[in-house]
Amino acid sequence: MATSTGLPNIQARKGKLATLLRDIIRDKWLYLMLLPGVIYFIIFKYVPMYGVTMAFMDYKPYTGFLGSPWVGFKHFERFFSEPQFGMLFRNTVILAVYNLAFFFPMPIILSLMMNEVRRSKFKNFVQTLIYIPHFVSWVVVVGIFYMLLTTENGILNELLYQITGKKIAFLLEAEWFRTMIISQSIWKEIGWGTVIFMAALAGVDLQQYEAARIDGASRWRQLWHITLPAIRSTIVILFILRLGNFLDSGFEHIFLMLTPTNREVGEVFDTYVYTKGMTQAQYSYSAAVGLFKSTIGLVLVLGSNWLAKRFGEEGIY
Amino acid sequence: MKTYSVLLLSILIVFGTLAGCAPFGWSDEKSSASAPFYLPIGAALIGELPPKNNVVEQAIEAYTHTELQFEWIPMSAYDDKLRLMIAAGELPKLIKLGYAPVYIATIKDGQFWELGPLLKDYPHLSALDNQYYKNISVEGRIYGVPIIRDFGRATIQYRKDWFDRLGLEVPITLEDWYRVVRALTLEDPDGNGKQDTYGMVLEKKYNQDVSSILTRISVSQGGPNKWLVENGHFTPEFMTKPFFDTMKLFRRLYKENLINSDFVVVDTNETTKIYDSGRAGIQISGGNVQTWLDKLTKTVPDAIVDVALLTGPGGIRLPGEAGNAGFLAIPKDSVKTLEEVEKILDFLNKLFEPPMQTVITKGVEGRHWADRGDYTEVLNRTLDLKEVKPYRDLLPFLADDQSSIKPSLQPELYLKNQKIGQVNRAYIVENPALTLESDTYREKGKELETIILDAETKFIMGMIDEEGWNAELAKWKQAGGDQMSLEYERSL
Repeated sequence: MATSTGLPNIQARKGKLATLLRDIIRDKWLYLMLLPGVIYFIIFKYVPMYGVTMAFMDYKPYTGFLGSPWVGFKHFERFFSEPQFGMLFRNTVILAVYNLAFFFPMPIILSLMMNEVRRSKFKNFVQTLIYIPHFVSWVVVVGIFYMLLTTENGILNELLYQITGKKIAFLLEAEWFRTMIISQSIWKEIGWGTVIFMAALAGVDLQQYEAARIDGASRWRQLWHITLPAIRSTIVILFILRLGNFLDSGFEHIFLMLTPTNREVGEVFDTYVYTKGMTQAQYSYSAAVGLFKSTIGLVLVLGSNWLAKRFGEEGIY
Repeated sequence: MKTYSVLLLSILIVFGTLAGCAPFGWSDEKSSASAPFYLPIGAALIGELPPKNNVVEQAIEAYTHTELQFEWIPMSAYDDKLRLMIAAGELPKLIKLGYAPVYIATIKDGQFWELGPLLKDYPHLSALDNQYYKNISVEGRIYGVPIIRDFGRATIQYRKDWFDRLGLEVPITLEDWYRVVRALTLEDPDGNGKQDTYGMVLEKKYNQDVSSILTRISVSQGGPNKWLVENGHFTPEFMTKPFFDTMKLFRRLYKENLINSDFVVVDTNETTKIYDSGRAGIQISGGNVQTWLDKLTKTVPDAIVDVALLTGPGGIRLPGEAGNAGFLAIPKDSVKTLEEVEKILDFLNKLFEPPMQTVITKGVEGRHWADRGDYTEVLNRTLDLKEVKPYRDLLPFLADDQSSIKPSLQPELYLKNQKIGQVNRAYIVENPALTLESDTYREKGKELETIILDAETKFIMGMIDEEGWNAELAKWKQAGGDQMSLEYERSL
């Protein structure tokens, strides 16, 4: 209807603009308070993004952005035709999938278990305890695992030796690499991951459980029909956000665990960017690799958000 | 209310005037002709952080008329930090660089001042042995002042008491090495009735750079130092027989559990601890053996340690090293004028004058050392380590025999090791590719190196056999190794 004349459309737009202006004037103090945040994001998040143009140049630190020649997609072409590309892609994706499959559900399961604990003192105690590993740095975590698992007087290996008469080189053998990475991640981050889920669980109306109990629902039924639906949207949102970092393998962690014997399964995009960019000063090339990784992350976030909305969930925006 | 604001105003005026005056007063002082030259230096720190503005620093400042500002960066993080500083273009006026592809690339981009043509005006700098400069030159040009070290540093350091107890001799052939390591592991050299010693322990960087134990043993057995040149043709060391035999030795040692099984994940701190606590008997090292003995006697008071020349069937042979622990270069980002470059060179030149050489090597008289007539004596080793060593590690100084300062009194073993360092020079095998140019090396050197280093480890651990090793060599050739050899040939 509005398209036939065009006039009401303009008027409507004018009206909208006027309303917006009126709103701004009315809530000027609120907008003023918003301003520092907006400025922060523009200055520290958006402006530095001009740096990604580095991926399309032959960047040299001494000549800077203006003096470095523009080379277009040269670095991307080199990256995709590199013989290592297949290996890097495979390792990164496998690790990412393992992360989603084994690491992501862990905090949810733990939160549900904690939710069943009725003694709040005990619950709080355990909660505090499982947060602690999050604050331990990767260097220390890897060090602890080394002490436990090394073949030279490692506690676990000594135990294994007493029982089976054999030692397993957990830290060296390629087939153990992914297991080690995922289990270290779980050990370190599982407690911290429960924070948001515990908060969501705290919001569930207790009357629902009461009503379910009167209807004769078992603990499992209550979990399935009340608790899980209550935190479903939280799970979906966290899942989408997690997909944004799909290809981030956690540089420091992987780098510390890499050895000559497991490099074939352990080398990922993050470590490759480090080797290229930092140790060989190929800034543009490693920027291109990083940009490729982020692009995939962005596509995954947009795609999964769209999917989530199709299935009637809230999504992240 | 009114008095209040008047008060406030007067306070403001007073402070404003003060603030306005102060900089004037200071700048007057600074601009006078006698103001010391302000010189920030990017420095690698190996041990403990020296106290701020300590006496050694003051002594150097007073003599060279400078105001020094050392930016100490721990050695372990030095390269990472430095690369970031280069990428950001934020460098101090003088910085320690290593002769590595990434720095060579930035030098070629023109980020540092070329110093070669200026050196002739500085008597001490131009008096240095030309080889020192040759080994840090980029495309034949000189961009820094080397932090001088011995050219041949590798020595065999071993537990003499253990050797005597078991009737062992310093190893010469690979078979000797096997027998010695085996005996030191299995025959209970410390006599405590337990099998708790190793002949030798390796750490994860056992095959890297100049301190590679594979290179050092292979050279002693007649192998080349990194590259073999025959009729102008370049072959990497790992394709020569002595090197392969050395690898086979370690494969055998690993298989028979005569070296630590977890060497792939162990770092130097761990292996040093094993040696220092008397649980391993022989090592090849470039450091002074006295340090080992000093630490060892804390746990094993009656330990005896000795040092020997690296010898093979063909006599004494060892790999030559670059003769420097990096070099000091001047970035163009922070030093804009030639005049300032000259001032920095003048500072470096003054460091070679005897009074400064004394301060750098020994510290300050009366605090760190005392004059005993013919020689000097270290007064307090702890203080020496804390206040003098950081500067000794960083600033250039000449070996005892070249400089004109008084010799210092050191334990016999220390002097023996030092003497070997001088004798060694006659027996070194040069690395023919040390200063040659290769684009492939600059772009892919690290990757190519990783292929081989990983393959060496896998071969020693028995994860690949000779066939697998050859496959890795083929991979290396294809990934750019062949190209690199060709480029070296061309630039020879």
